[in-house]
Amino acid sequence: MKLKNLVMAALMAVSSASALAEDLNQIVNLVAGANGNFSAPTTATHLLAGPFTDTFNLGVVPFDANINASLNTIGLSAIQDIDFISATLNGIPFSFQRTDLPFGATTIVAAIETGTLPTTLFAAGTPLLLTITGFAGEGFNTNATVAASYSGTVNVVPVPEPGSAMMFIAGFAAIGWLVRRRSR
Amino acid sequence: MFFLQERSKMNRFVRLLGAGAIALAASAAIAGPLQTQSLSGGPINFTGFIADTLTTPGNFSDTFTFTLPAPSIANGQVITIFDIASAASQQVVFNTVTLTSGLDVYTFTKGTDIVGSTNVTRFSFLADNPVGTSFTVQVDGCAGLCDGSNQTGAIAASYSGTFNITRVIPEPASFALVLAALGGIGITARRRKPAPAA
Repeated sequence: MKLKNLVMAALMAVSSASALAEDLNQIVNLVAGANGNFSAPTTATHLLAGPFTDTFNLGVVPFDANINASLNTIGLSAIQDIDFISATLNGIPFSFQRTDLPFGATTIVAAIETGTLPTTLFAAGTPLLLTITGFAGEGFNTNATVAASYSGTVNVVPVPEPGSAMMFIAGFAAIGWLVRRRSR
Repeated sequence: MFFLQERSKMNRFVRLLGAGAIALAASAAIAGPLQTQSLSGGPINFTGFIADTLTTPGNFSDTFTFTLPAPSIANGQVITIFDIASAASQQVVFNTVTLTSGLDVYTFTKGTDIVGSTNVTRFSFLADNPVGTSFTVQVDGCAGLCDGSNQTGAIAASYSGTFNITRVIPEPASFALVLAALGGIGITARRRKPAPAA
């Protein structure tokens, strides 16, 4: 019984510590192009070290949509470092590439981490949530002071394309007109 | 509920204006507004970001200014992605990204494009350089098809970037030198000063 309490206390201590570490939750305001496509940047700044789960809420799209997204971070010292663990859009994962940078006589491994979500179809009406997990700061105690950030972009293309939708409508209108001509 | 910026109304206006203007200025870069960026963190380590969503196809030139409390060094990156089939509305080409501080101009290095079956991811980066107490970042690029054709109509192509700024703290040896110099000045001043009358 005592051992169980000890384990429970330890688990609670760990979970409360990570609860204090910064989880950022933001809303993305997608900018519309006249062609019906949407795009927006995403940015996040962490001032507390430790594990994080950040979310970007794209909203609920009223149409099927092809969506792609990017993520990037650069860090040349521990206090600037962001390590991505995973990034997903409604469970669809990003793939990551890490770039080393020479730094004086040494090399900073994974100084740049670049994430890519290739174009993926999402159904209309689903809430779209971009979830990014990672660590802010390299080797710091959780909630120590850091200054580490990452940024990205997201593109949303309605399917079918608005131009194609217009063609469908025009086509049906033409068929309807032909049918009316024949029935006369 | 779908989150849309009010800019969609502005895009229609821009499109009406643009039909004539773009014909005249097909190859001229469209200068974006000078933007002063805010910084987070401090007092030694700061971080900030830049971002833009281009809604006019063609060349663009965006300038971002950072102001710092003390001389610093800075590094940064910019990122963008587009779907190859939707390049006309999503593509951003980074032609030149530069960081200017006083007379010093540093040019970002282009990362190797990450080319997938449907997408291309582009990034550029700059390692640490001294930036004094202020610097500007200029992003010169092209948005849209960027194939020399006279593309019209509003697009939506985004890029973003982050910067890490570290205040330069003088080495302890420098402090020692300053103290020694002040001490030397003090000794010299006392020697020169005539002894007070008894």
